[in-house]
Amino acid sequence: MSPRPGFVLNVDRAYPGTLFWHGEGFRLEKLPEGSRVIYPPEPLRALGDPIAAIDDALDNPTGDSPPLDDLLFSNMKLTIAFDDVSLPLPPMEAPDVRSQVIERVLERAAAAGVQDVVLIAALALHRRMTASELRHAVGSRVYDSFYPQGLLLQHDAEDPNGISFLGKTDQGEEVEISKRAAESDLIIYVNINLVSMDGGHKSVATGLSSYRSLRHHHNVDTMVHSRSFMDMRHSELHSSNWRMGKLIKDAGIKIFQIETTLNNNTFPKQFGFLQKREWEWNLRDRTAFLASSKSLAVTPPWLARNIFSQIRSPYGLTGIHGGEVEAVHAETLKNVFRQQLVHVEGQSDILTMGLPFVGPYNVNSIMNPILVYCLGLGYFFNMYRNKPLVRQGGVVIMSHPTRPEFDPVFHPSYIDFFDNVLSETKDPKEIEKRFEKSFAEDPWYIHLYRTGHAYHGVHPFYMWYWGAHALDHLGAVIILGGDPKTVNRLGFMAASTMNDALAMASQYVGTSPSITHLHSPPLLMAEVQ
Amino acid sequence: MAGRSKFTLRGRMPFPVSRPTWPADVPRSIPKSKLGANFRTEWSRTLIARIARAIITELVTKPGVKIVASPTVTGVDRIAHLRSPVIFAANHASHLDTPLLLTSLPERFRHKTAVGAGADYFFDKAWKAYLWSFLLAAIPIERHKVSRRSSDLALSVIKDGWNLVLFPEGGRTPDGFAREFKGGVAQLALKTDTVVVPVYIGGTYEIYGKNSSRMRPGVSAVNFGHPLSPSGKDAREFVREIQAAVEHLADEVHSDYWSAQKRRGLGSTPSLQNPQPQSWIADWKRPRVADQQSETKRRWPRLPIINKPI
Repeated sequence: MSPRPGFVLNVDRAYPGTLFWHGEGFRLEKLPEGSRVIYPPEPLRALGDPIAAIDDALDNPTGDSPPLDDLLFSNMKLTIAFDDVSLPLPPMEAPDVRSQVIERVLERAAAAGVQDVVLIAALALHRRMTASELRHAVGSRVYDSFYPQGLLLQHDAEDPNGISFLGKTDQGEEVEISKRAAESDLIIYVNINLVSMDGGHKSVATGLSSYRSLRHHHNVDTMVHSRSFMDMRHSELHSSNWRMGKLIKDAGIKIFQIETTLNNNTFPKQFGFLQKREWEWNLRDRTAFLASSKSLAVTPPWLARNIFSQIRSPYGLTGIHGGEVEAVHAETLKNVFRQQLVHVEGQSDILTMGLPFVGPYNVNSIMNPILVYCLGLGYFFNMYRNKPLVRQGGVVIMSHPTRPEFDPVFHPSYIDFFDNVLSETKDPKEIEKRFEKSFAEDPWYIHLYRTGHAYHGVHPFYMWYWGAHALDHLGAVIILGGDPKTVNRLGFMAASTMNDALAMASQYVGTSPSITHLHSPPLLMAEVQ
Repeated sequence: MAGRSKFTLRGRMPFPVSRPTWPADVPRSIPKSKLGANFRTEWSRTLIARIARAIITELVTKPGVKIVASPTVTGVDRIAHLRSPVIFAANHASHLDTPLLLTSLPERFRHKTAVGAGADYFFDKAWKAYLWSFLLAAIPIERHKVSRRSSDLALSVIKDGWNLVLFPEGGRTPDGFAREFKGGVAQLALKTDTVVVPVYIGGTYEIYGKNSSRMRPGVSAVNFGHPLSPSGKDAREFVREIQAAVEHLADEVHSDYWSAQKRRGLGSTPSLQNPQPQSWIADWKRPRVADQQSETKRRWPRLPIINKPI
């Protein structure tokens, strides 16, 4: 049976209730009759033989690119860059698709007699991956061969000797990338495209760049003009990256881009109910839901986090393309939309969403309040094409405990951002103007980024800018089940029940608002007409 | 003078207590043996036998193998997408290889895998034939002559959707070096159009090699390779490909993935066969799994040597 497409359901009296993620737990909410719930398509069928698909992508490249074997020669300098721990979410079951691709590439490089090979995790300003995360991403065989030799590196955007300045775009954007990559005869970039924002020129132009280069598109103005940043046709974030990509190409740097897409088979059998529509839950699903939601409600957050961080997703590969960056990305986007796109008629007054335990920046860590904000108003709000799911001046109700908890190792600058910046102002423009530079250039944060596992000092600012478009668009944001004091610091309102949240929203959208719920998991993207 | 013993030299009771011997001049029709290659093993692949075997494999064989051979299993990801039937072709150094390989297989293969075993060695007596067909789902393979019965049996096992473990060398190595792979595995793969997964098993010769009088618990390695498709190949070419793949997997275990890849690219993957027969030097240089694993098995950190001035 072929997978069923996504659809929009109108809530009626017989509707059993809607599952909401609530951080490391779940809520079952009864939305008012007449509300709409957008359900994602079912997982697409995975490719039967991923290795054959990888070989095919390398032998028959997309766009104006020769096959990979023709680009490899014995005394060349080869750099293989790959996406970091922020993809996919949750981490996928072994073997990670990156490891499969990297091995096939290395086997060809070895056959061509290439000796000088370096692997680089394209971190940009993300935290350095731990040894076990690196091992999972590239696979044990590659890790054991390259890491002890110092040939498996993590990109260091603050290394004064490790960054090359390539020039300025016609818009005056400075372009810098990793020196090793810039000096290589060929960069092979291995990507995982979980959402449509990923990939394309963003892979190298962002993943291997520096703060000096990133600030040209990671800023409030760009984000407000990216409507949405999941739709590259209307995303200033992508336009800037594409300009940089062109400059990189014109500088003579050769890139063989390999992009992969996964289906949305996100959870293993134990959490099968998360993948199903509520009215199709059988006895096993209902038992699993009750057992997990009741036990998680009394589980300390640290333990619940540990349990959830063990989840490995049984994602299946739905497509792989290799070759010229733009042509490859065009094919990749088709695959992403084939899995995620749902057509929706018109906007609504209220958009509701449940936020999960993990986002791109808290893998194996705590979802702190700034990341809650970013996941809801940055990522979920922007999962649209054409226009947002909620009208201008509408309300977003998102469900998450939003505890004032931070990971001091991974997110040190977030703590200061929350305490010192958000206590002064919530306005992204003002925050950018008054505080960004001091955090970005703070030597202690730079030290922690370069030597520990800390996100760069400027990273919490980017998280705040990520939601700038939503802040600009919305009338109010309500966090359902959030810690009131913490939610207030974010500049939002906290509600303890859905009825309370709807009552609070009524002052912005009236007493009989239209409501749309973005059902997650798994991920979906709304095409709003 | 000592009295005549009631027992013959072979320990049997004398006639008429035991069976009579047959006079040489009297013609006799010899009944067809039900042992060796003729032993019927269908019962060992029934559901009841599989369940009983699975219980023993999980509760006895697997923990036993872990205690004796401490295996490090790698390359399972290379066969993650494979579906049965599959032929696993491995080098062979010890009786431990079969339980080690079976317990290292992913679960979806483990309990539906038969093992090709020498008909002359494992099926020569009724108790052995029943024991090995039950414990290992062994099927008799004629090693020293071409046998229609053996090849038909292997074919039918694969056609029934069972996986098959074969040791293409045809027996255990007497000296720790592999012998040339025989063509049976390639012919079977070609006839059934079944992929072959090359497997390298290391370390078992040191634990319980052919000439060992007892087991010496140690460390071992099992490394699975990418499946090899027989399509469009002839048997000779394919068996060489299987042997080269096993040698490459051995190189991976004894060095590292990238070094092994580079050597393969240059065509200099070390052979598993003895380069200098009759020479102690080759044996001295033969890579051993224990050498690779000694660092990871250390219970205590290696302390820096401090040179104090005297």
